Amino acid sequence: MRQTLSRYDRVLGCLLGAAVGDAMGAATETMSTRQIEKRFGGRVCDFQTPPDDVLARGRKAGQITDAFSIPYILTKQLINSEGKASRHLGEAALLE
Amino acid sequence: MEYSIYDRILGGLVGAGTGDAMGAATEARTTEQIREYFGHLVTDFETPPMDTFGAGNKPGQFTDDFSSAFFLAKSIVDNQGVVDQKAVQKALINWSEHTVFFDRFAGPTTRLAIRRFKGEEIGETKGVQLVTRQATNGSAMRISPIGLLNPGNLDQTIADAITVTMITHDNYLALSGACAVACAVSRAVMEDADVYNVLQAALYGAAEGERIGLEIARDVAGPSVLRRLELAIKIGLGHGSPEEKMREIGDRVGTGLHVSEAIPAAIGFFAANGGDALGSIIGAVNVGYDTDTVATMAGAIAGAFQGATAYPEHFLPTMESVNGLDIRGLAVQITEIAKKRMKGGC
Repeated sequence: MRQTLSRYDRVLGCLLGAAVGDAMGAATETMSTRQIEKRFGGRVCDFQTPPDDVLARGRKAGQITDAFSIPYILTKQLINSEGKASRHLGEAALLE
Repeated sequence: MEYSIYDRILGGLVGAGTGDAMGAATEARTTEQIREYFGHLVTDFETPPMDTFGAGNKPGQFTDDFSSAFFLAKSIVDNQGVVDQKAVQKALINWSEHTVFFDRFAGPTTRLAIRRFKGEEIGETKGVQLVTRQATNGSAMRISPIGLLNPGNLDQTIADAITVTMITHDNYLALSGACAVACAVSRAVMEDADVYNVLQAALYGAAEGERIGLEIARDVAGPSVLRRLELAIKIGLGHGSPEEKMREIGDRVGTGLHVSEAIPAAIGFFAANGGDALGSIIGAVNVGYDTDTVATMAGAIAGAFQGATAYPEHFLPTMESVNGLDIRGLAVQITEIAKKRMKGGC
């Protein structure tokens, strides 16, 4: 460990990591490793514009899909309820 | 007992039919749910519960798995054993007009393919694209008659299995799975078959299907049939009781709709039960999930390995009368073609 990370930094890191995974994965969803390497000329290591034949087509590089947008909204709802999870809250988050 | 090619071929059909009919009662449940509902492991034909796909079926009645295999085999024998696009399409269209099998049971990839070669325009919607991108088990479930028609001739088996599979499931994983099952059956039906050379044939089929598939078929995302098959065989030949191995196969290989789960699992059950005709099916029927398809394939291989006489006597007449299909008549026709090919040495 280079230095002790703050709690805030860890929390932000978790959110950022999830969002980065979603946005980068949006460009490669449903493809095989071979297809990914062929399409992008190698492994995908940064945000890429999703190709026209994947579900995320039409989105910009770095744009998230349902995979991060749902936890984002759910987290906001949880914050509003002072961190208390309930079935009602889970449903409300999905409806929003 | 003296070797009879007819008994082995009939065994392949009875085993596949038995797996389908028994599995219809347990499909989609877990092992625990199966035990809870029936009060015991399922080892005979049962009435499917009302909350599963097979609801309304009688004990011994088929779903899509063996019924589509039956129609495919019938169309090929009527075509003198020649497997071509026309014979396969004819078989599938004929099968699709039997609503008792098709309407309630046909899987997503097959359903779409039949609509396409009936001349329907298929729109490029999101859902359709996604469905056809999944490598599913629908071709492997009906491929076993190809092995019965080509005893011991793995390369002809692979060529025919590819012709059949490309018509509905044109991705390399589906080809790998279908060739694995067809090759295992082709080897199992021979007089000198043993558990090991049947498993070797399955591995050869999976490898060749994958290799050829990467050249001629669509690439598709998903785990390798061949690598999962190696794992399933390792579990099957490892230590533990057949029931312990059943749980291992269910937990680690998986027994779902994906070709890389269902096909390795089916062959794993054959290995886990030393090729036992009924034991291989009972494992696949009670593991849970896509039990009818896994049991159809396990039963086809184990039935071809041990012959029809290895099954309880009431199985065949029950299935013939409940489904109105002449299974013995089909076995006679397949045997005529298989015998000619074995003599001809082609």
